[in-house]
Amino acid sequence: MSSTAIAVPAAVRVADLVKVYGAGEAAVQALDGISVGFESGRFTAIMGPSGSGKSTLMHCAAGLDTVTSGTVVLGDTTLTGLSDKALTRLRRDRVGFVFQSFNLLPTLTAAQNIRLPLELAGRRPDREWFDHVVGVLGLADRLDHLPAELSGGQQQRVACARALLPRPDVIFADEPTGNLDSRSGAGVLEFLRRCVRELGQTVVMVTHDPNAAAYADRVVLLADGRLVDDLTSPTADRVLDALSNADRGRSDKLRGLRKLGG
Amino acid sequence: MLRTTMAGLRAHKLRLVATALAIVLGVGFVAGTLIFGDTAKAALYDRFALSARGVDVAAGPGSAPGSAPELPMSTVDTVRALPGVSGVDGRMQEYVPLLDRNGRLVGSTRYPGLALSAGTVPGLRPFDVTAGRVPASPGEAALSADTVTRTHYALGDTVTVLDRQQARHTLTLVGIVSFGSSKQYADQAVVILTSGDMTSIAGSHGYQQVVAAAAAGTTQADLAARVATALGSAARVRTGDQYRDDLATSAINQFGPFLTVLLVFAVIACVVSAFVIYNTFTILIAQRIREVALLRCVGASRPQVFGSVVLESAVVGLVGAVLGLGFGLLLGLGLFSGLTALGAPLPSHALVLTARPVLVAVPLGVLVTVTAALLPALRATRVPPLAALRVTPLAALRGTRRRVLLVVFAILVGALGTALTLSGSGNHSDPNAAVLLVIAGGLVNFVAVLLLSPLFVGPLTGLVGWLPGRLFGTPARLAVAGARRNPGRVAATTAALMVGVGLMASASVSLATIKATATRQLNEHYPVDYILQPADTGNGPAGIPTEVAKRLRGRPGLRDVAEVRQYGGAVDGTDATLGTVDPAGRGALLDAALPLTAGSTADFHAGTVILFTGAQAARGRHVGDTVTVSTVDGDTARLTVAALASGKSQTGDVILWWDDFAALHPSTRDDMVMVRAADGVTPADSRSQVESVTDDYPLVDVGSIAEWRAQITSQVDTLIGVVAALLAIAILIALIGIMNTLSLSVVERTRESATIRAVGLTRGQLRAMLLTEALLMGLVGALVGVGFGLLYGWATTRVLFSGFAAILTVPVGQLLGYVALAAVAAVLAAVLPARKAARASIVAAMGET
Repeated sequence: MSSTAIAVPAAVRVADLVKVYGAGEAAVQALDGISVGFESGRFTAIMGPSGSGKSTLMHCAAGLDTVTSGTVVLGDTTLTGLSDKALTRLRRDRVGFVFQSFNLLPTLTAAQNIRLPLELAGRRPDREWFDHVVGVLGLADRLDHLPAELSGGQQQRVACARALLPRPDVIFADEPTGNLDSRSGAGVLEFLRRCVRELGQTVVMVTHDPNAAAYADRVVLLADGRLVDDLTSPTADRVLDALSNADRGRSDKLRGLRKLGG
Repeated sequence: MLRTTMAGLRAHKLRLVATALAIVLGVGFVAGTLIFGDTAKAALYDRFALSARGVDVAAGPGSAPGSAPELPMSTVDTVRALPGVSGVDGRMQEYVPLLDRNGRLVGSTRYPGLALSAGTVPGLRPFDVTAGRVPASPGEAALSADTVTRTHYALGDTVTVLDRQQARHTLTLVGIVSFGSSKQYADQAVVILTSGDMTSIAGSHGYQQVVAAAAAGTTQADLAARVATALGSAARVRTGDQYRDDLATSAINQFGPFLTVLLVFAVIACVVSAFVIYNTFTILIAQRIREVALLRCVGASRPQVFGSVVLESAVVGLVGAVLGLGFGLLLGLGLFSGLTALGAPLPSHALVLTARPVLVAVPLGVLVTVTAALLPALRATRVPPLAALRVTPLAALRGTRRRVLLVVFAILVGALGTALTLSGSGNHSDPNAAVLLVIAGGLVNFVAVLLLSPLFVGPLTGLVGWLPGRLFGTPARLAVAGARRNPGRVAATTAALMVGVGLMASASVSLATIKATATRQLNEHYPVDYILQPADTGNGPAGIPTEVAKRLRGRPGLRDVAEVRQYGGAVDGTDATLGTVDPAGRGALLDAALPLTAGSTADFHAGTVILFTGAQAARGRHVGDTVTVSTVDGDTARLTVAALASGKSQTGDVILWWDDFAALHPSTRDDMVMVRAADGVTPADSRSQVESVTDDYPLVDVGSIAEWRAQITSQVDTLIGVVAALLAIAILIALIGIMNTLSLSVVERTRESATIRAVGLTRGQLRAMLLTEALLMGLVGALVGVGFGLLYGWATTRVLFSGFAAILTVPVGQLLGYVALAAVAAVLAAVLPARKAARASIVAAMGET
């Protein structure tokens, strides 16, 4: 595993993270003792083939899921062992989410959806900041629309605004372009990159699309619940190469297993 | 397709349990009512076992006009002479008041004692001797076991009875008899006398019934035919079997109105169940759009999809109906023992299950379920196969054209309902028809409200949710948005609650208005403290000797004593009770407090009358009109109307001048004596003053107005309790509906809930949000129900009390109580779904589509 020198402090760190789903015969080890840090003010992509544990890593790092063993530290807070209430508060105040299927509340308008986390926290949104975020995302004339009246790209931009508005320590994006056409997808990725470059946001994105990963400053590659590669300033081609390497490793391993079995 | 349906049923077992539960309750109510009816009938049938024991032929007085009320004494000999008769006995029955050891009437004046003849043929007696013997010679008497228990008389004691002239006779107690399980005479003192004493003391001059036993080889029918021929048209002859049947039937008829009311409530429960089922299936179909579309993709035809949903509903209905039958058995048992405990004249009896409840309740359950599922099934057939490939779309916006159609239809229905209501309200000639019209109008209008409810529940929810939104912030506002998201669904969910709460509110308003109006009537028409009435001895009103009033007037502590006399008659041919007050009491009773609407009591003198507008006879009469007042005996007088008073009066529909009345109907006894205590005298003092006189007259009943008022109040409160208990089942079903809707929408919104949890809603807040949503549904349903109930409770009562100045009384506390109860219950119904939603893991829930 190649390791990059970390120049900036990590916004999120996980150490020796193990996540096992189920028990006994049916147990599936999704994360196998992974340790990785996501630096503050950078755009990191987590990649890997299906079942590599990339989504699980994100869920654990974001406090959405519990871990079997190991630690997750967000800023200066250790997440492991926190109560559900404390975790909820932490997500509300310090973490932003962008999901593959937008996950907006259908009963709320765009503006209400954007303000939701702040309202849940009982905080008043900073009017200027709200206008700025909405302006950057080009949503100013869409604020009173219900999600059903917005296009997929617009919905995802609303989700981005929702994630950004509370100025979280880190934004987690789970396949944010998975349900979008390439043009809308590019718009969303461009916005995420701007958040990092211009606003100093920390963004961690899970994706399986090398083109999307190319927008990131750094790509970490997972296979079978382990970290297998770590690229800085990636291009789509380099990501593809790394992916096929990881795949080869995987098929080697499978061959090995077959040998053992036969 | 059948296998697919069954697999679907198994998969959605839990969701369908609630649906089945609604059916169980509805069907159970119907079955319980029927089972109770059957059991009561069987019990009452048994009750007459003793009356009809050994009787092969029973002859009673004929019902043809002009026939005597009793069979002549010679009947026994006539029957005995017929061939094929092995035994014959005459049964006499008269009202004979029995006094206890302290010289007071046993039982109440409304149920004076009864005397039965001892009979001469032991095998034909309607009772068993449990101690001593039956009276054999004059001056001897036996008492029923119940009477002995109440009076503590013992064999050998001297007992006192009154004859028709209220003279006392003393008899020796020689026996105690029992009527078995029958409660026919439960509230009455029963004395058994020799036939000689029946004639000399009780004044009997004939037989109430002559019973005969057939000799071996003679059938009941043959003997009955012979007896009928011998007695002619003066007698009504029945076989022993017919007699017993008739007795049971007439006894069951007194439960008829009660059974009808029960059935009405049972039908309401079924209607409410139908709402719940309709709603559940609508939601189930909406959730299974992709499943249905997939079936269509792989080749299921529209009829097959339709059939599958209908079949599913039929299975659920059948299961619910069968379980409902079991619930009905429990309910029947509960009703039976409950009523017996409350003192209904029902002998104890084992539960009876005939084929009828099964044949009615089970198909009813299936029918209700299938009917309610028809529309959702039809909707399922419209799902295009392509829907299987789409990401589940959010509830499509309804077409405006459909909405316009709906509104137009609802307005038409509402217009019909309003027309019915108004025609009922305007109809003063026939109060019964008017009330029915108003109620019918109410039902039709209610349908209009239900049709329109998808349009107004949304805004109403917003309105109701404003305060919780302010108080509890975002989770409550999210709840409002959730509740408003699908107005059609919320409307259907709350409709069930609207029905139950609406009926409850309407009954409460009616009963409260009746209570207030009746109390005011009492105060207005009886500006007195005590009313003395003669006991009903069953032989026509005996009247109160005038000495009673005379002696009362001499008592200190009593201010006014008014003698009232009454007689049946008519005003210009319309039946009316004629009444009058003696000159000494007139001022106290009439001048002081009559609720006059026209004229003046100053103009009331000989040759004039006062009319009460609550009576039919006063319709269209004005002060100064001359009317013809006639008695039932045909005496007439032409009198002038001096004044009109509102409402009805116990004094009479028409009040005549004392002398005018005496001229029409001379009498030496009073029909009522009213007494007012002097100021500053305590109720206990005035009561003992009155009783010091009436103790010498056991057949004079002393009623206290304060007690009457308390009686009315407690009766109304009991009625409210009964109605509330009956409607509780409907409300329970409605709550199951809320639980159902909420659990289904929780499933529907799994991912959404996970999203809000991810962006910062705590478990507690999510639970609170769903509970608030249920609270809002409960509040909206209850509020609409109360509003509607208020309107129609008032309209119905107003018509019921036409001619009276009904006082609209809104039992605010009670109505608020219903709303609060509905809201709390709705929240309770949501506890389980909310818990389930809050427990779900965010990541797992997010993965679901």
